Amino acid sequence: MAEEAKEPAEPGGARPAPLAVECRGVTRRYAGVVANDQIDLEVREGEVHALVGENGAGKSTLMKMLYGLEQPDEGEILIRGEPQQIDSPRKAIELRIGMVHQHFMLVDDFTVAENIVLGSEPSRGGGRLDLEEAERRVGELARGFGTPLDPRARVEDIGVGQQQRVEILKLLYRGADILILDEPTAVLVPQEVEELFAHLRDLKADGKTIIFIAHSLDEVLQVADRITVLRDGKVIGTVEAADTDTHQVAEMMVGRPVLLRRVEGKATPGEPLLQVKDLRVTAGGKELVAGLDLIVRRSEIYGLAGVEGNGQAELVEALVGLRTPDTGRVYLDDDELTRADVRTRRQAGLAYIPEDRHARGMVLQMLVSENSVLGQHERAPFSRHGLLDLGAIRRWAADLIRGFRVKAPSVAAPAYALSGGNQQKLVLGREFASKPKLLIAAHPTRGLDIGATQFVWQELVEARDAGVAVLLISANLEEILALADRVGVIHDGRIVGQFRGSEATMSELGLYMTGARSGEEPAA
Amino acid sequence: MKTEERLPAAPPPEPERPARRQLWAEQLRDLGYRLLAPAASLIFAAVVGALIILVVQGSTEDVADVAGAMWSYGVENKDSLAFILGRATPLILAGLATAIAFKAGLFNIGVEGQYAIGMLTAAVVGSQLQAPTVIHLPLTVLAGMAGGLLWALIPALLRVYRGAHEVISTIMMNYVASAILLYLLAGPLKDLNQAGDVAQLRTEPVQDTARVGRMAGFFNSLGFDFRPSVPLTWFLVLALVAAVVYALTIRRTRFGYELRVLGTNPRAAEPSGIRTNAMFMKAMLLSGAVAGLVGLQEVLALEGVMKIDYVRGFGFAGIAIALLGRNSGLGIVAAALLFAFLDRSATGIELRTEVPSEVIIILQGVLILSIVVAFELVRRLAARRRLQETHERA
Repeated sequence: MAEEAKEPAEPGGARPAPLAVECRGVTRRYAGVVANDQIDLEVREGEVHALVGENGAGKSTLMKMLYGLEQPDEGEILIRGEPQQIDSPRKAIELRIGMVHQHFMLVDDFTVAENIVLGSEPSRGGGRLDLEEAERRVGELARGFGTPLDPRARVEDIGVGQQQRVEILKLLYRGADILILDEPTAVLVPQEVEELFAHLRDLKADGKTIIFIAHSLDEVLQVADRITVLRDGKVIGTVEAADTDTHQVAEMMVGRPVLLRRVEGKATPGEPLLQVKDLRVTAGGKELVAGLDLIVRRSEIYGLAGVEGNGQAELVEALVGLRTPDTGRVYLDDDELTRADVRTRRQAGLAYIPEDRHARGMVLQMLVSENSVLGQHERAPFSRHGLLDLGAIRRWAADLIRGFRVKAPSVAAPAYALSGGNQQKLVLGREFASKPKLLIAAHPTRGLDIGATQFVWQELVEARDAGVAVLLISANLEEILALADRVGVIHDGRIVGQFRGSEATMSELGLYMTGARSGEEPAA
Repeated sequence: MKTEERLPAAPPPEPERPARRQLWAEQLRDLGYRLLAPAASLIFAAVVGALIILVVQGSTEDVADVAGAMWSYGVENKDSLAFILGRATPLILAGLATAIAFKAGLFNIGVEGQYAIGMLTAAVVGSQLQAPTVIHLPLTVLAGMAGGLLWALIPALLRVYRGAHEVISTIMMNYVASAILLYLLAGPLKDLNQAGDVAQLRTEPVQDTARVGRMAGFFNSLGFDFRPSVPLTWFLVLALVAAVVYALTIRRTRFGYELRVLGTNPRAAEPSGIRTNAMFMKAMLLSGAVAGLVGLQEVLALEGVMKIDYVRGFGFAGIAIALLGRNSGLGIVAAALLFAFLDRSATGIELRTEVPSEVIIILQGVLILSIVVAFELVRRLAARRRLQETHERA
């Protein structure tokens, strides 16, 4: 706060526009994790300001604080130059700040007009709803922003793009002139994205301020005036969209390898162990894995890089057996497992570290020992003839927590008694220790500190050296570059580029990840 | 079983020492928490019960009367224990049936209909089949289980293949069961050889080869002094064995393990290779089969027939008992005994006081509500303490 004399204090003429939103040293911590660390952010009135960063970079936390869903632990937030305590969404609305969440907050079987006026309905006296008046006003509002929208259509009958429009109109109806859009393009198909951008330009022309959270850098460059990049809860910098390119922003986003070294192993990749041919997976009407081919060899770490939401999650689910593909084939060793269930795949030598380890990898209410065999509980020595051997399970668990340095009061403690990082290590250790042929590791170091990360990397390399085929999915390019023998970049459900791990560079991967370049067929 | 499980098999090296002592203290405290909730809710229910009597009757004497009747009839009377154990028998089985489904995260509200059908199938096999006891009795019991299983099969299939919620379908199956029962007992299965003027709606009597005896003699040989007619049968042993088997199955078998994973975190079950649909199916069918045992004491031991005014309500009581007993074998037995005691006391209140015996039903209701609230409060208390400790440690 001492550095007020920086930019905002410059003579009025030099400033392009007054500030709509200003954050000064905003910090927010969760149970020991710093989600936002001394954030300084300036959003000018009437601009489209994009906020980009990896998952977990702190974008959502920051937006939640602007919308009153969270309060900063330190620092202050200024709205139109006035310091404000935004302690609830109600307060945010009073300050004319509106937010469109990624998941829409609409009542499906209400009409467009009903949804928009909900909460501040025009009344006819005596508490009766004046629906005609509502429809008239909504119609006017929509026309004012050049949006063809039938106020009487039911929300469930209109498309996703239109629903998003309804959300935006809802904010405008309440008089918002600072609009926060949380990944608005994530749910849209390309044409809808175009329409949204046209709409945003209209809104900007009308003097609205728009804060836009995004993943795809191409989109950001199309529509934003300025871009602020967050990484690890810190602001890396703010750039003018006109002066930059995807390349620079990508580098700001993922950072450079600073602390962690590439872990060298001695193994040489063997024959193909996992083979995926022309895999297609549809979810929610969108084809998320679109004819993907992939080979992972024995004694090889294949790093799958990509911006989140490009089909990684669905690919992994299809490989593990949690989701049935539309077409395509999956082979593990010589067995076809395209439609096999999870147990069959695990028996065939699959180990899986789920992305959401607390929800999908363990049962917090059960004991550490019980969790240490989850997924392997059916094999000897843990169970024989349907009976559990509790002694063998406890011994296994004790070895596991020692071997993987899991800090646990005892193997007989419930898993929720462990800290988050140790719960993760328990799941990771369990899957490593299952002696798999193929290990699918989804974001294995997310949420771990540097020390634990280095340890997990070491384990991945040792598994590889022991002959395991490792499919490593990570949004963290440092991780991919430090570990992978081969790197594939996934974009829009396809592998768009493939590199030898030692030859790949961060900036090149970044170009493929954001869709700025593609097509080069497997080099490695 | 519990204590043994908590001792780590291979004692790890030195630094574990203080950790383990701390764990013991923690476990003692957890046990305290676990007993705190039922104790607090019992007291709370008693206070509310007393207040209700005060409001309804307007005199403190009645409260004393009721307490006196509950004491003399529920505890003092020399046959009380026999009545309570006999009544607890179907309640234990109903509680277990509900708990099996609960463990998998399923709500089997259909125990009521399942045991009715089980009684009917057992009565038919018991009365129609000719065979020596060693064959006839087991077959009759199995027929009862099969009847219950059959009645759980339809909701199970609907859940697994059509996604229909089992609460709705099991409730509906209860209605179907009572309609079918009425039809069969008034028509095709009605006993036409009854003595007396008015023929009852009931099946033909179960043959001696499928009957189960009373237990008064056995208890009296241990020094008790029960009337021979007390409604206490060998089904008590079956119920207790079932409770033990249930507890062992949950803790010590792969099936029980998968059941618990599925019931506590279904999202982790699938990635672990647990076949969730098969588990839902097994849990529901097993629950139905155990439910089929609930009414057998009446058909095979106490009455010897299935009649239209059979004792109803065990299925719903079973839900309360499973809840009260936290789905643990021991807890269910304790909760069933408590319910049986309250039922027995109701008779005393009826006979000895001016207070309507429905007070007991109110008491049961208050007890269930307060125990749910108490467990939740204690759980939050414990969770908060633990969170604090984790923070302090960190």
